[in-house]
Amino acid sequence: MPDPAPAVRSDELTKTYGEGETEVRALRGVTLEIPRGELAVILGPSGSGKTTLLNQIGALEKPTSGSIAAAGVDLNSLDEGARTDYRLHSVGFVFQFFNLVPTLTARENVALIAEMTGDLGLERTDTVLEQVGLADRMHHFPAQLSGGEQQRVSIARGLVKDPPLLLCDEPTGTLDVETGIRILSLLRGVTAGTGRTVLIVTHNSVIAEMADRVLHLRDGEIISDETVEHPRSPQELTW
Amino acid sequence: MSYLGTKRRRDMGRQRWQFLAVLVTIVLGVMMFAASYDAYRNLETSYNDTYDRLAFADMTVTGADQAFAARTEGIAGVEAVETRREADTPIRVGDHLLQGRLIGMTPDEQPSINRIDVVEGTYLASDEPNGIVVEIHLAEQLDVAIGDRLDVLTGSDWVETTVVGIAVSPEYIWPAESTQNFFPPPGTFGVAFVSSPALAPLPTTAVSDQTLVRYANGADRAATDAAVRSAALEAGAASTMTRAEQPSNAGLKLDLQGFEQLAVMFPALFLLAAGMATFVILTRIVYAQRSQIGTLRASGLSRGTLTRHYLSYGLILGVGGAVIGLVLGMAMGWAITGFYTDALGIPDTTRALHWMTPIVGLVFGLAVGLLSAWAPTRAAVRVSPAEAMRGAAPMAGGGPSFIERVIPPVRRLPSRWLMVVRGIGRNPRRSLSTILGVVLALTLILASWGMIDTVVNVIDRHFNQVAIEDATVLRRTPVDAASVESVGDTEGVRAAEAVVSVPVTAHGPDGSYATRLEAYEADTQMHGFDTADGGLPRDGFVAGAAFEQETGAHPGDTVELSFPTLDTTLSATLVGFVEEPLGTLVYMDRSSLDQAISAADPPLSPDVLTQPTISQIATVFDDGVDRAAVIDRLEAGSDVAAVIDSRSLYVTIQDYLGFFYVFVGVMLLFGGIMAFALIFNTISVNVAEREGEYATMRANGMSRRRIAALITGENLLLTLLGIVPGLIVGYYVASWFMHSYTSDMFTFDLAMNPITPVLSAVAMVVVALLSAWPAVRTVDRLDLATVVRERST
Repeated sequence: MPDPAPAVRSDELTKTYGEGETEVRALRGVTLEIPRGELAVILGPSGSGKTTLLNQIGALEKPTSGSIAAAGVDLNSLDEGARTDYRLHSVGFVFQFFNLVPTLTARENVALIAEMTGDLGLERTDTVLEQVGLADRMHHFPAQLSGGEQQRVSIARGLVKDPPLLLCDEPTGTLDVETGIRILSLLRGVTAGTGRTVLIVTHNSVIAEMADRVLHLRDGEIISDETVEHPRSPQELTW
Repeated sequence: MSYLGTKRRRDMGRQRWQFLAVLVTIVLGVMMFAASYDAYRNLETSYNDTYDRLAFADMTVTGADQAFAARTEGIAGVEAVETRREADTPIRVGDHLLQGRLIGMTPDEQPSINRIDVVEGTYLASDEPNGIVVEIHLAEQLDVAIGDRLDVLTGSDWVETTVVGIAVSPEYIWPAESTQNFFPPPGTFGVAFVSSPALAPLPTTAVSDQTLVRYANGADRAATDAAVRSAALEAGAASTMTRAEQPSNAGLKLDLQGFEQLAVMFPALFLLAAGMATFVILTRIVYAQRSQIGTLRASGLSRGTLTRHYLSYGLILGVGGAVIGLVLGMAMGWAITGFYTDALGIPDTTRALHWMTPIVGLVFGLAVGLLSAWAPTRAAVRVSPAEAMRGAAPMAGGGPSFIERVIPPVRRLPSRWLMVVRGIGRNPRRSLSTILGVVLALTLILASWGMIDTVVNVIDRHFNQVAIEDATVLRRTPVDAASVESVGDTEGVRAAEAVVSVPVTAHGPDGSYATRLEAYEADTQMHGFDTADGGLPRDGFVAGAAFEQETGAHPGDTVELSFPTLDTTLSATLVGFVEEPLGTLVYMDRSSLDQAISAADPPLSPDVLTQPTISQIATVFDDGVDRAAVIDRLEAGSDVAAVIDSRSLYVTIQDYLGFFYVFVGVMLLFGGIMAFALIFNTISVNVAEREGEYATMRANGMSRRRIAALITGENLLLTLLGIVPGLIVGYYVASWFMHSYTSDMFTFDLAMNPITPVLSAVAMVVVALLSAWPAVRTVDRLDLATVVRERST
């Protein structure tokens, strides 16, 4: 059996902000390949370019040069409409700050995104909320939920479209350790048997211990790309 | 500049468009106040200066006995008394015939009361007995110049006079013929001053004896009015008229009242809107700067310093807006004063610096700035440093919206529309400010537009339903059946009728009221009456609605009617009232009047009513006829003294409707700016607060167009919530505004065109869409990669 197309592939990807004296080269020729179904962690200190790389994969920004493809889509060739369409169907996002709509319940926040993908998405809303353990809290408003619950809603929001790729930017950044581990367990479960790829960007090296693959970024370059033979269970982690 | 000053400058720079919107609203409010108030004060002073210089009468008494003048001089508060004669008779200027009013004056010497200001030529001289001084409006309307010939009808003969002067009179600054005919069509009525002996040949039915009374400075006006009036009635006076009741002065005062109301009502709307907009934007700034405030407080910044800092935003806006508004408004006020005094031909144009204007304007600006900044400032200084440094304020709780509670099926809407519906309850005060902005703007627009609609309606109703006649023929000889038939036979004339129009004073239980009595044929085609059967009662009389208030007489009462030019009095039953937009007249059926005059005290022959100074021939033209040609044919008729084109004012007003709508357009623009300022600020703040949410939605694949629809939808919903109360409040304010102008001269019941509220609402929707556009553009330009990583504030 030939290996299916990887979840993410980039070749000599660069991203530069500003010009002249204010020029910042956030990515300097990143070449990588992340197979499908893996949970990959992109690790690096602040300013290393890890969020920029995630934004490239999520088509939130255009690269300066190089090529990038994700979920089988060549992102370089997409116009603005096609990039929106790509984000709608191919990727889900989980951010450090949940940015839930405070006037909508957990269920409605998830349904807000699900509606855009049609009736199938709407049917999935309750299923996904059950998956993230919020079946009995789905009618609560964000202000009535804890931080961990709010992040679970945002994970459900990312998953409801059933995207092949889930991109998480510091998903535990604002959570306490116990809640953070619960969220990581959830993300670990998302890959299990679904073929879905989860990419977590973090500066917390402990999280890398649960990954299938760890990419180290420094100054916009990948300095290591390791496959973890025996990832630890999220429950074993602490920081 | 301190660092806090730098911070403030940069804060304001970053949100310059929102601050600019507030500034413009304050400028407009203060500008309207300054322009209206200065114009009001300057015009009032200009009128009073003219009145003082020309010794305008405080009381005019008609028909009192000869001893009245001497007796009046002894009344406390009376400074001077003068007698004169006045006559209404046709005048001919070239080929043009019009209704004239001749006022007798002593030659060579101006009277001590109601002097005239000769602006061109000379005053009357005894060596020029046929000299005549024309009032300036007559001169301007008919291009009369010094040396021109002007013919005056004395009885049945035309007497030639020569124009020696053109003058301004305090009695005719607004050239009203009477309270009942406040808007004589241009070129149909004119005033001229002649030597007293020149009035001798006129028939007695055309001439009135008048006594003019002027009060001493500081006299108790009300008490003196009452004393003189009482003495006049004892002396058999047919009518008394205070300065306040004098038609020209009453009209000017009504106009001043309009400026006075404009100086308060409209600016108040703008300043309220500006206050709300300032509150919205400063509340947002304080909310977004919570962590900065916490850090500054933790670093030792006192509450007082912080209070001064945030209040200064409102202070700068208020003072800045007030100063700009005052400069523009005072210049406008001066310009309006000049325009008015020039248009009315008032010789005394007073444009003084009224200190109250800048003081009140600044107080308005300061009050708006400080009061609107007060609540956000209090919120800033009250927050505990530890809590504030955590940055985000506690997330607002959710819950079903009011609309969902009232209309439960709304809960089944898709989530994106639930977001829109609940969005309006997310920050109730902010949403309320948008709704209030729409209400205030609609109030401004409807009050202005309703005024124009009402005036148009009043004019339309007056000329098409009440005073239906096309032209009135004044004759030199008595009006008999043959003359009426002759006029009726004129080509283009569909119907002709004799109509009696005579000065009358009605004496009711609460007072006397001088007006005109008009008598029509029973089946008249010249005048419409809104009585039960559309006609006049066979016995008794009906009167304009204000008659009840003026005299205290009610339907069924017997009222004494005295006729100063006929020198007789009759009693008649008041049958009811008619609603007429212009004037308050008394109407009788012609045959009923003939009988009543025969039984009057002293009794008169009904033939007296056919005299040319009393009877006229009203005409209605054929449809689509060349009006000018018919009037020419009527003027060419035998013994015709003048033909008054009754509809020329209507045609003139129709021609000038465009200018009326310019006023409406300006008010629409101002109202639009006011609504824009509030809606734009609210929506900008809403979007700034929700950037993270919108960016996250965009990151999750929601298109720009769909987010634009959500923002616009919420904005439109708020606007619609404002439109409903706005239309109601606007309608009632417009109604009150119009009613405040109602008097015995005019009846202004609001008559709003049904399309007006519809177009006003559409205008608000357009403003809402325009206001949302910058916010939609902001979301379009969001740097998703950056915003999704930021905590919403």
